[in-house]
Amino acid sequence: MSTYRVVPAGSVFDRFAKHIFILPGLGVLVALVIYPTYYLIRLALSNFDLTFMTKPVFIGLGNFIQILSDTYFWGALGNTLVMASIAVALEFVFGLGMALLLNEDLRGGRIIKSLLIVPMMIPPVVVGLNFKLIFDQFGPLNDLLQRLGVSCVDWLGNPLMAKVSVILADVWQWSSFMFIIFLAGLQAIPQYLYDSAKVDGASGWRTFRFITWPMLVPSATVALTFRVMDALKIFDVVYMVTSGGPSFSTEVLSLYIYRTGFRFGTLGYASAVAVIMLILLTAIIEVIIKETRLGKRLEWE
Amino acid sequence: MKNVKKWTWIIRLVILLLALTLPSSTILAKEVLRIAIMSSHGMSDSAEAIAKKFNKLYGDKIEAQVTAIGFDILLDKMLTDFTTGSGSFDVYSVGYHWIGTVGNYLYDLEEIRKKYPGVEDPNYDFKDFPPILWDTYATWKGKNIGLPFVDGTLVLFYRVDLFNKPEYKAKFKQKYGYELHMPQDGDTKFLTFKQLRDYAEFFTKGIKWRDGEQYGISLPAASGDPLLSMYAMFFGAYRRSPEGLKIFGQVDPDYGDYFTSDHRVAFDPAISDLGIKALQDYLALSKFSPNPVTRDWITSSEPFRSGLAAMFIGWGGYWPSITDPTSPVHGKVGVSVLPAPHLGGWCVAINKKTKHPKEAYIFIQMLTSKEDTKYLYEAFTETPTRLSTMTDARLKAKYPDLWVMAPSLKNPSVRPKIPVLPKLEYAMGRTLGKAWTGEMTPEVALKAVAEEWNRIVKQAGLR
Repeated sequence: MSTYRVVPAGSVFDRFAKHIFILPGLGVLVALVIYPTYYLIRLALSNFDLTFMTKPVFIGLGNFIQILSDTYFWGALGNTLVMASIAVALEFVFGLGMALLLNEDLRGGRIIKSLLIVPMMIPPVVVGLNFKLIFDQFGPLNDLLQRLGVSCVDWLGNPLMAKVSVILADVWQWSSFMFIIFLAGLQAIPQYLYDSAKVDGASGWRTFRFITWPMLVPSATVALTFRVMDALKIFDVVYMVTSGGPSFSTEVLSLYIYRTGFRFGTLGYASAVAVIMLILLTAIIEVIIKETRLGKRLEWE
Repeated sequence: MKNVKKWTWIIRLVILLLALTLPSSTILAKEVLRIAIMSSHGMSDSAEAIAKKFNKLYGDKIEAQVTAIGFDILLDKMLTDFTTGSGSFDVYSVGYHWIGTVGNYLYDLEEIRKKYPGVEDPNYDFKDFPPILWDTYATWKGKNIGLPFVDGTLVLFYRVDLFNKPEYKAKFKQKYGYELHMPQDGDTKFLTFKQLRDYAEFFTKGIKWRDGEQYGISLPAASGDPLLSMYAMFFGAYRRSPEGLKIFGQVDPDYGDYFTSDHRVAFDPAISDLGIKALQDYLALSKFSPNPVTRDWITSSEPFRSGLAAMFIGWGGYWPSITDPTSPVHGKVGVSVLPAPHLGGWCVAINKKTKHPKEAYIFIQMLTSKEDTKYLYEAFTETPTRLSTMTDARLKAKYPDLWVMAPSLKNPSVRPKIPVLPKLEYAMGRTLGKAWTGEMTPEVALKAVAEEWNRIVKQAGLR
């Protein structure tokens, strides 16, 4: 018969146990998050140029001061914000629309749902390459327009249309993400709420306005938070479709960080831009969470 | 008790496995010579073939392993490897225009030759490399940092069937007052920019030679390497003219055609109007091409390869892909020398951090030897850097693209080999591209690029 020794409450083991159990997790956090972030900030405060074989030299806020007058940085930041906002807004609308439509019992709905998820599973590099071919001057899209009697569009050669092309590629790939989250949210709404609205004679719009939408807000906030984070970091699709062109009208921050770090070899400067991007992302996500009162809602739920 | 027994058996088994695998892995662990080559038929396949030959000779001690790396990421890979000192690769293929950026991390080959006296192949024949290639590909700051590997000059691909059609020839002469003729091997006069422009115009709107859209020429002007190289070609014609040499001075091989002899930006409208003239030539030709600003080297070759364009300016190494049997223009393509050729090309160089400098030298020497250059050209169409291959009568008779190589090397323009070249390339792409999209006039765009270049060069302490 085995015997178990009962550890008395308040003993030394009891007091330190939780700290000991937390250690592996803390170790992983330090190694994978805290140290790299610390190193990033350290690099951002130094002058580290790979091409001149210099060792990192501490220069304080020098890189950040230089960023203030860097027109490339401001251009890339503007492009990132504009393209991400439009893309996420469109994805939001399409995702919600598709979810509302497919939440009903439609014929072939299950197949459509499965197909809608496919774009999300394709690597962004492949999506980018496909859209580069689709938007080519002699690509299938212009061919289709010509057959319809519409004149060809210079998708990738016109600065405005190049932005539109990148946005369309992103919307095509990520609307399905919004769709999944919204669909899950819709299916979690209790049926009795709709039944009582029906009994009260509420119209379709009023049902959506006062039942569906308020119940969907937590899902919308989660979807929005993830997509905003992702869209602001967009790299692969832009790199493949336009490489930031023409005349850098589609240059985004992550592409600029990559160029300054690994093309120009100015790792210190690239790190400073990355730190700014990190602060920007954190601030935007914080605003989204605060404005939608997500924390409170989750607490309530 | 049962559990204890089980555990001891597991421990015994693990010890036995370790005892079996450790000695065998020590025996099997051979030294490896890692080679990173730009991924292309000519380059990486050639390196693979030589690696097999190398392994037959030295494979019992060291094994050469080739990794093909895409053009877009090769420089990033090199920089990361060099600066972290990880020594991922012992040998790299280096585009000559990157030498300024990575040159500090490359071995001075003279040091290896001195350290290992027997390493040099007595039949290597350094003099077989045209001086322009030796100076551009292999020399930096007076040191020998690589061996010339792949010659890449911009050449003109054209549709032989269109240029030889009597009906078109007659129509062209009637319209322009001179013969429609593309210079051939043995011709003493090469193409002029005026001819090139007239040909492009003629095959765009002077004659209907295909159903649907048609273009006289396909040009690249995408930001990055294509724009930098193409504008260098147009500007080089002025830079190397007697007038250009008088204004800008001689070309410094490390600073290339884009700089004056005292390292100011030569195309700066503040110095002369030659930069503007070159840009206007480029823009004028662009009118007869599918939108150049969206086209890099590969995507600008496609309209020609698919039969939409009558001419295409690209690297000589594109010949096999353009003329392969699946190409719609197979058997209809010829090559000619451009009015002002521009030099691209690659050397093979050794990472300073390598643990195998001797073996790395032997490998790059084999890859660029006189004998194997001919073999590699025949087997993989690796564009040769040796005069003996470029001028070989048998090869010239067999391969219609070979003749342009030697004449293209007479006075080609070159890009800078300075550390800040990627920044210059970026600045040019960002601003000069606006001359195509109509966001800026050519004059304003060029002035802005010149100002930015002057600032970058000054900030880097290069002037």
